[in-house]
Amino acid sequence: MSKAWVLWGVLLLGTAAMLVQIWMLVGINQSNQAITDMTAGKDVPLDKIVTAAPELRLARAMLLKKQQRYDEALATLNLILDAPDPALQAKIRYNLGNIYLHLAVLKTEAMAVNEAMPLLALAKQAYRQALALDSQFWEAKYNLEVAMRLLPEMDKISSEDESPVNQKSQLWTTVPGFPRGLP
Amino acid sequence: MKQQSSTKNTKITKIFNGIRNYQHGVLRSFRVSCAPVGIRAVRGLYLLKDHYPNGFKSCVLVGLSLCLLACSNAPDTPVSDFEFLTPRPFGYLNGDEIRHKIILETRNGVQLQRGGLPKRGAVNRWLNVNKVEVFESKISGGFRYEIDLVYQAFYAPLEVKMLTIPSFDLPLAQGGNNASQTVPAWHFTLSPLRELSIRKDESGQYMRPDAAPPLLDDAGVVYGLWAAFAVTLGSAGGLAYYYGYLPGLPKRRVFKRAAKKLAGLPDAQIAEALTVFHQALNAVNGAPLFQHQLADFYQRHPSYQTADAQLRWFFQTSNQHFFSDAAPNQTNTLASLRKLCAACLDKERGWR
Repeated sequence: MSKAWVLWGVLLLGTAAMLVQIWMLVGINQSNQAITDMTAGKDVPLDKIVTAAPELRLARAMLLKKQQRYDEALATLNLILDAPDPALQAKIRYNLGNIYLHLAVLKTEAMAVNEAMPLLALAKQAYRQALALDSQFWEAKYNLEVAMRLLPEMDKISSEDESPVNQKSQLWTTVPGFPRGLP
Repeated sequence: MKQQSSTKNTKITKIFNGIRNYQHGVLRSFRVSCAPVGIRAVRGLYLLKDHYPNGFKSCVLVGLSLCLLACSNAPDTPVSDFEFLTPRPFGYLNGDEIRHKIILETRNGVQLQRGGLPKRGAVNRWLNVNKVEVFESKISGGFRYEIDLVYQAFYAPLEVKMLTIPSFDLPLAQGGNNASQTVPAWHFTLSPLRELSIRKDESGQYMRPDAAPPLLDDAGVVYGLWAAFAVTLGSAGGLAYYYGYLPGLPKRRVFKRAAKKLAGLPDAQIAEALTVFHQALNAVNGAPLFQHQLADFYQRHPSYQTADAQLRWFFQTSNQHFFSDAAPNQTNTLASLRKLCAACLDKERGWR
């Protein structure tokens, strides 16, 4: 008789576990639907975002960027920088770098060079962090090169002045601007 | 002899490793090996003997002195083997990782001082160390170290550019004595990813677009759901088996049906109750079962042997009831029979 009770117990536990898994599956499907909606440009209620998974908040940040609400997008991304999945973290840092780079390009085109320079430095830092997490992240490599062209670092590489202590003179190399090539 | 064979095998393995390294794009490998100087001195001694056969004894003395001198100097070198394995030195792009491997074998218990290895982080403005791993093993007379270094270059050249990963020293120590082994600088070329002049692409952007947010992975939850479903199904099946609801198992229901019939009988109908239980035993046995056949019955159905005393009581009660002239004691007979039937029900389900 006691074995029957054990079986009843296992049956109850199994049923409870099934219900929990179904509930989680429904939640994941709802989140994925929200991500799809936001990628398509449709906003979702904010209360669903605050405690949501990093993927959902990343989608929200990208939506905010599309709506040119850059400060809110940056704040959202900064909150999820420590996402547990390295691949996701690389994407978050890459998108963060993209926002900084986009803002820097806007500032450069508006000739606000002094405001563009720190943004470019932040963009490069974000891309480097993304590449440290995933060295095969080609989009990050490309955009890092764009940022480095905008704010070149052209001190002599082959000289012995490469140690961090000897990098005081970067005067002309830090003026941002794209090389336009010959006419 | 065995030791010689082992040494030969080690040498052959090292040659094969070298070939393999070249196949994997390892460009060069630095090797430092202390030659057997003593053997060379003895060989020189024999050459002297050929030239000066008369003064051979004096030559032996001079030669042995040279030999001892040579042998005393040879083991002073702390490193018996040093290999620096590097990948192809060209074709790198901004953000690429470069993996170096250093193999170091020491003698006389000389140990690598790990504090002197490159640290994770920035080496200079464009070069980072992402990973430093050291694998240490003991070899005869010393230690073998395999050091894996992963660098990452962040440099955006305007054209193909030669860069250099700087040299560094591996500090070694034995007691109070210190030494070092230099890891040479490594040169490689890095190429740009895009042309010098910046053009906008079709969408009017200078840069690559944002990474699309990934959808949440539900694979783990789906596996969990299947696992919970399997557990639920298994326990439900077990319960169905326990209560005899599984179709296609008629023998498992013999005592279940008997128990049902016994439950419906009044106390006075002892004969019917005994007949019901006889029929159940006959069904399990596949033929009419009598008391003297119990041993044979237990051989084919060993689980029932634990109820031997109760079964013998049943047969005695049955014999008394059907064949004895004396009035049988009917007190609690039906209750005992019901208990026996429940015990047999457990046995046919395999629980007890």
